[in-house]
Amino acid sequence: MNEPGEGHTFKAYNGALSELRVRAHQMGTLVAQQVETAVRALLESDREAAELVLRREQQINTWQTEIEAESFRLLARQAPVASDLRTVLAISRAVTDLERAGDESKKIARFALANSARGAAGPSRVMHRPLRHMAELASESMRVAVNALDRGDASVAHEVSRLDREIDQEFEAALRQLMTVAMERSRFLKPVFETVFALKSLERIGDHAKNVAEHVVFLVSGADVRHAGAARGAPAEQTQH
Amino acid sequence: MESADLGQHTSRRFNEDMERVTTRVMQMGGFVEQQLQRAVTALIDGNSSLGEEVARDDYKVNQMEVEIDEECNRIIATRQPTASDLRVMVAIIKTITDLERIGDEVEKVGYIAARLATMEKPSDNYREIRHLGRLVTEMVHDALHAFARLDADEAFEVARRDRKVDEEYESIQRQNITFMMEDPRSIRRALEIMWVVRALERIGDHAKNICEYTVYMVHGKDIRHLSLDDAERQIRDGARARTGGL
Repeated sequence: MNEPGEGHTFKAYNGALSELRVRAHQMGTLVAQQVETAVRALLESDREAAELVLRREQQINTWQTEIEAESFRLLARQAPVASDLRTVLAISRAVTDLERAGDESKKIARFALANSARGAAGPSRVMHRPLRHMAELASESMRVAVNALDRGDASVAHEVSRLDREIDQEFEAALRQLMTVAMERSRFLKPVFETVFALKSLERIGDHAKNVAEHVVFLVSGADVRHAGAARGAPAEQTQH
Repeated sequence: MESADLGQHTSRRFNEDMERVTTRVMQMGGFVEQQLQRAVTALIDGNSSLGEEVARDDYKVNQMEVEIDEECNRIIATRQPTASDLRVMVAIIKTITDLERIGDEVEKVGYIAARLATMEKPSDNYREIRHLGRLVTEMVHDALHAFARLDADEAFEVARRDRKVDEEYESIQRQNITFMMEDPRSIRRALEIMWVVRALERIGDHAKNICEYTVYMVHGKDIRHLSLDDAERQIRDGARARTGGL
């Protein structure tokens, strides 16, 4: 894209590359939406919303397959170099994270469906606020990351990373709160257990958004920032879960 | 003549590159396997320093991933591999991503093992976890074996074991809930165990992913969103259609 090419080939190639970006953006936008729909389905025992999430999940999987196949064709036929090569590689990595984030929303939707099938009340009341808040944060960070991928804008990496920390804090706080509930009323253990996994899914979506932002940094600068410090041989930061 | 020579040179260099990268992937896989075994041992033996050591060593896995990944990017950029060679490169890049994620799960198990070492052990002495740990360790090992030998049949066989892992996972979690209900004092430990079991189950998923990349390398088919039965059938039918066409 940075150098003049030869007529048709160049145009077709350029078109294919921007097509790839558009489709990744489309996929990411849907993934961001899925998070909120899934959590709404869970909190409001909304069967239809849960089923919508599951249907869209199919769409996301199809897009992943198509985008990766297209990336592959580009690599094989055009042998792009430098920043174009990085764009293709970054996009194919990003769609892997998007698909995995989509999977997490699917799990939440399944939990919502299982609840409504057995007439269960779902997560205890005290968990509604943290679940909703985490869903908003996760969805927001996904949107920011995906927009950055589309524009090739690495400057939002900090913003996404900040959101991810906020999600992690909220997750830790919700876990502690849930543990107290569990110890006080042990007959609620099963819903507590499942709520833990819903929280965990949201926490992971935050991680995937952060990964996408890191792929954007790679796209723009060619630097692999996934394991800050790893290349220098420093042990990674301690994580809890 | 000249261009044919050039082509041979490029492909010979590419093959050398490939061999080097594959060796490194296997080294990385071997190290991840070893980490996994050590993490489970740390948990079962209540060995907190071993658990911490495992967690600390995860940076080595990350480092290997970054290095192999850079090497692959360099090969793609400089050798401009043909479609089938490129498929191998893509499969390698994906495989090391999954290995790195296995490393992350193992790291978690290491930390938890260190924390649990100070708590009282459950009455069954982690029998179920030991079993699940063995299942997923074998899956990782065999998935890499199939990958190295480009053996799609073995890859399918290993991928199928993931169902067994999922069943074990469900059963341990159910049991865990029962323990907690019977003895609410064990809740803290049970929740920690829950994360361990979860991590092991995820490792099984990652091993299955690696199997899918092997199938992709061999048959050029993306089977991630198909059931294993459908995938095998489609590959068989595809092969028949191809031979029929000749």
